[in-house]
Amino acid sequence: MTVRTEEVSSRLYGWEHPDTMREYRKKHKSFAKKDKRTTLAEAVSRGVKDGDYIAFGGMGSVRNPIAAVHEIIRQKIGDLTIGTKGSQHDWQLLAAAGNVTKAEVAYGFGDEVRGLSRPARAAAESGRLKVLSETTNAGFQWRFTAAMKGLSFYPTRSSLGTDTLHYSGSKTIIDPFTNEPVELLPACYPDVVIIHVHRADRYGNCQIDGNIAEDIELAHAGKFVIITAEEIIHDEVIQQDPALTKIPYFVVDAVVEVPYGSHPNQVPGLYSFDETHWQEWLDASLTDEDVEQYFNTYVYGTKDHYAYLEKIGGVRVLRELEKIEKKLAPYPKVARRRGK
Amino acid sequence: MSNLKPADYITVAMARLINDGERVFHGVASPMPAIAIQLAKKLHAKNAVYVSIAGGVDAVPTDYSSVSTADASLAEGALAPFTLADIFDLSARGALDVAFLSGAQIDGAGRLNLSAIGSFEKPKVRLPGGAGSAALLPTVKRGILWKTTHDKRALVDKLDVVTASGNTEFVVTPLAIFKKSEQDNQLKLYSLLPTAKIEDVIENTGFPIEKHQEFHEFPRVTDEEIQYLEEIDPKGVRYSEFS
Repeated sequence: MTVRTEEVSSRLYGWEHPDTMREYRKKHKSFAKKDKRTTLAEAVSRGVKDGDYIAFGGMGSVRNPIAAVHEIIRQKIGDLTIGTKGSQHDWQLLAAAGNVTKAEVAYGFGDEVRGLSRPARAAAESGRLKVLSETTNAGFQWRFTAAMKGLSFYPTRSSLGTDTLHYSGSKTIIDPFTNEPVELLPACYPDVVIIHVHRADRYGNCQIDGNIAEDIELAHAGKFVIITAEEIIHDEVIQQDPALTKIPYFVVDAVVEVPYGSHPNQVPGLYSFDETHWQEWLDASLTDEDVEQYFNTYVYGTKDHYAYLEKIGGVRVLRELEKIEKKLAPYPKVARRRGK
Repeated sequence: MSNLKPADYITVAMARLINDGERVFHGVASPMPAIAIQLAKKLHAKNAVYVSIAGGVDAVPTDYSSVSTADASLAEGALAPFTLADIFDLSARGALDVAFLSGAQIDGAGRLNLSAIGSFEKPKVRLPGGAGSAALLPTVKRGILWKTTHDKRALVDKLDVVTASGNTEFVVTPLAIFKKSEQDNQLKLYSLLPTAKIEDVIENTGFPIEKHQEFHEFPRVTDEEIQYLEEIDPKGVRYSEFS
């Protein structure tokens, strides 16, 4: 038998009463169509507060808002709770830098085929990072869906009989229609959501190519929504094909143009992974000293994202990543965790 | 063929477990299942339906070298977008036939642990997290698990955390294929991979080994299987799970 404690299973994180959220939206979410363009530093300082529950758009290593993560580290915003709904490098950087102290986990401590993240693991194993709950990718999807629909929970039969259900914060009741058990997942309304998209206009209408993941639900669930876009485009481009708009402006609070904002990860169709930089991070990630050195060089040592892009090799490197993504150049050697 | 490696056997073994017409899914960091699905579709399961985390129906990837299974290159040639959320719904309504999943630990009942070694609250090793496994394994018709290692740390008598449990039917390792017995719901030895002896399996497995009633010799890998394997994965990305 696995040791189970009620402390883990009975607390709610990111949950709000639907009526509280109605009030919140009335007060804080303006539907006004206004120019929301700003700098990354301003968007992050306005949107991300100490102790916030934060969630990122994208999936796996695709469309992660890494530039925004760097800015959170620069501004030393602390005690964050992360919903690790399926991406890794974004929140692992925050865990390595100490900004994140609590996590709800679906998938987060691995770097897919690159193996487990040493700094994120060390944070959890040393107690610096508390794992609040364990859920599934589906669980996050449904928790955001409940929030989007203005509900307090989402019903599913999917995880009955697993420890994951026990650690998830869900409750099991008897479904009044079937008279059988049904799992109720608590709605999740993150304090701040950051989504990196291909294109947005100045109001926050967003186009996303390829895998949309759960970004639509997330954008509607979040209390404060920051969009970082590879390109800010003219309003008329949005109007030419409104079907391409995945996130409408009225759920967005801040819009920032951030080219190569997912580096060293990828944005489908635009640029590929930077395997050279990944190898540098994986090597650095083996000791706390080298992690600190990495942050000193690339984050604290760069005043903004544009300085970071120069530091990682500038146009020469970025053009190469574009060519690899467009299959005009061969895929390089995949970076691997070396050493222990 | 004596120069075949464990990755070749595991990929071929998984391909053979897919039946024609089945709806099949794999998750992140899964080059061997991704290649196995394409192999099955070339051979005996031409009408298998492939849904992947990259978000497509019936993708025909031309390159598996990406390190992200959410990469758009794995959605190449797809007929329709299909998000991970769609896949969970498909499974929840009983329409997903096969899910390829794995675990850091797998027990004799085919349950898996992707959460923690040691206790959940104070882990000795904090594992990646169960991802979609706890939503899919209880709802998919047939779970096929695979491991790139076969030892007593991987195949255990008792899981530290039961991240996911449910409808595991097969477990494929570098040594053996296990199938769940309908009698007692325990994994039984279904086949030995050509490189393994039964003593190796007994010695390296944490749960008791019994032969499944369908136990049989692993049919040799055919020239056709090797030819298609090379055609689908010329760069040998399937070996990357072992490096």
